Amino acid sequence: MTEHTVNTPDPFLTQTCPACARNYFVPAHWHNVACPICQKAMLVPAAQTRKMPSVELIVKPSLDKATIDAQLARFCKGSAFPFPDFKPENLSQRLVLVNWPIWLTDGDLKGAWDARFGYDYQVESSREQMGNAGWSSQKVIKTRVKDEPRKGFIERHYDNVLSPALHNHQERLSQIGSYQLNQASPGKAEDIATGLTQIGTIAPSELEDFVKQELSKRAAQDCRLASDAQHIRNFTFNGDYNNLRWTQALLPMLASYYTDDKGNRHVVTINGQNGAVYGQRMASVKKAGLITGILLAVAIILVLILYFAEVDFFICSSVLLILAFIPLIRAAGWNNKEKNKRPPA
Amino acid sequence: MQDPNNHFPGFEQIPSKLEGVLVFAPIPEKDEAQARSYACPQCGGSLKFDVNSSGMACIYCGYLAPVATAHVGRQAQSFEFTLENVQAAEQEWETDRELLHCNNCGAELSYPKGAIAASCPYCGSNKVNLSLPKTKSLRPQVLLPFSATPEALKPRIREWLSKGWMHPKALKDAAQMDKLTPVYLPYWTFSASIAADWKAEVGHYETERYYNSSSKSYETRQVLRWRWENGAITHFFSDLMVNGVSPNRLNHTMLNAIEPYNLSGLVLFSPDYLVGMNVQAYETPLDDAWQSAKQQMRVSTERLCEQDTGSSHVRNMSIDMSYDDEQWRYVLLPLYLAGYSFAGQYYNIMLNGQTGKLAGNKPVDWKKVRTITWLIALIPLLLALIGFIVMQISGNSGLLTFGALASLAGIVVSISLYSQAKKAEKLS
Repeated sequence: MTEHTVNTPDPFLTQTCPACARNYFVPAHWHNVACPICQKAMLVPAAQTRKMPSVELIVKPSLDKATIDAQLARFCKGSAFPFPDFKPENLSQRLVLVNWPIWLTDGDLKGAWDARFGYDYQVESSREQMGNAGWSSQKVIKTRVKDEPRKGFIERHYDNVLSPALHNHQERLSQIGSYQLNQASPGKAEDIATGLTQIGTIAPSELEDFVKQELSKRAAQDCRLASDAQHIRNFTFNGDYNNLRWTQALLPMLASYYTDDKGNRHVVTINGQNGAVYGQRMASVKKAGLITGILLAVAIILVLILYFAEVDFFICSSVLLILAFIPLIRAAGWNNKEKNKRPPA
Repeated sequence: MQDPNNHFPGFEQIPSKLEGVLVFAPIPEKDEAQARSYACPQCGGSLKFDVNSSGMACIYCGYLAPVATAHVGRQAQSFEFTLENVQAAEQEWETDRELLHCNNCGAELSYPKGAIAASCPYCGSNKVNLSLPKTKSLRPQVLLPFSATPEALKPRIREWLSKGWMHPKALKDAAQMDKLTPVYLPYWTFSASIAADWKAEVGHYETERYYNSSSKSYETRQVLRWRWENGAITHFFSDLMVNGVSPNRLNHTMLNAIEPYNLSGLVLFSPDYLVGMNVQAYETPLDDAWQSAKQQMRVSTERLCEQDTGSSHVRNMSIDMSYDDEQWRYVLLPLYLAGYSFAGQYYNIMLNGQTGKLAGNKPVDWKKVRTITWLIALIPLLLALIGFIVMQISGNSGLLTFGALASLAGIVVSISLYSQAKKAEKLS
């Protein structure tokens, strides 16, 4: 394995969010930084200074400003009764790069394996039709799978088995999509100096069983290839996992926020590689209430006019009064739907 | 890397496609396609398979050894129509005559194409596995051993010879019987499941009310109404048998007459069973036999589809059928060939080696048949003639009518007896 580790810039401060307890490495020249993921508190120096783990690979943000702005404009478009602050340009201005970690594990496997592999083979079959002209036959080639036992020994080295470094790793991927790690490059100090680096919450010791399973899966695929088979039915490995080495890869996420009528901040996150945007798009109940008030006033005036004109107005006035409440109902419904989304992980 | 020796009993190392991975696969079964000679371990004489004891016997010293095999019945291994098998079946049959060096006497022997077992004409030593195909699946994998012994069958043949009024009376005693020659016949068995969608015009009787102008009233009548219907059936065909011998070599009509064979008695093939016998491999190639089996399946499928309509009135039926899980087996089935001479003619007999069912040619006493058939036809005619005379004298036409009817029946019976005799001459 060729290791490219980042020489930790000096100094990198370890800071924590008192609201959500997320920890970050923050460039020392950054001051008064709000937690980019919860936006509920300012980051404060952590009680315990952490050492940045060895970073082997970094996925650099690959989106230009125009692409990000277009993505944000698409995100804001169609939102019901948006807050005055919920604008693509505001979101774009407040973007902060957050590098988040995953574990990369290298290791050696040595031992015996036992498997049942499936081998494709072709059989000649036929399809036949009977009509007025008698029977006609058509040859059909079908592919079937034959199971066969195989055993053997394996001694191989595997690089970069991926495992989560954050407890909400899966949730974040489900929100902003996955990353193409083949576009990662060896870590350089300047790449992480432009943003915050989130500190992992899962220690390698917690991941050992998971990584061994992943290594076994890779070994199973290799044994299948070595046996020239197409399918794996059963695979067991009985041997040692040696020289497990843990490094990290950093993935880019951009975080921004907008404020609502009460001054609360709502976070929006963007996958720094594919541009997928995630966040709650809350509706302004204040704005919806105002529109409802105006419509209600117009409806009342209209009802009064009809009343004094001695027109049979009962159905008409009822409809007008109900229509006046639609903005408020729509805003409540919209917010209800958005609240069902989990906040950015 | 660990030392792989003796780690996986029953497995052997095979080439690996990836560095750092050793691969072991089950050791393939030994290919026993080489020709084998059988000599008695006691006296060195020739061993042969003895049907009576179902074992290997030495005709000189009485040495007897059982055949190592296992009963498999209908669970016997079958094969799919893999491209490999289909290709091999096409190519294997192009092999020519086999040349073999006899280890016993040193003679250079030439065997006919496809011979599986034979004896050396110079020293009499028995040999098995002479010209087996390279593809294992195309060699016999299972066989049905002889259950009926020649001793038990001989009285049955005598009894068969004595049966039937149209055969010579002296046949039972005067026929010069040959010995029963045990032969293993090559057969293909086929199994497949089919799924067939049918569409047809199906006729149903419906009750119709109509106005009868002659009786001036409403009446009901049954009318056949046709309508298009469709349906689907599935069926599994199990062990359809097609014999693998050329019709030029053996009479197929006679062969069909001694079937069926009960395949639940199948045992794993052992060359020992063939020692001392002349055994021929299949002559009908796999594909031809499969086409023949498929023809049987088509006929059955048509019948099943017609049954599925629920009516006996079906027309313009079309069927779309697909096969699945097609399997085949190559088996050897037991048969006795025999013959006898009578009045300077030679007649063939076949006996099912499992059930003892018999079929063969028997001479017909044409003099007797002709006499009886003429009598049956002429006596009523004579009666009719008398009836005519009686009618001329007394005016009573009763006897003439009876005679005329009896003559008609007599002619029909005579023709039927004659054709039966013709058939019996070919196959009894």
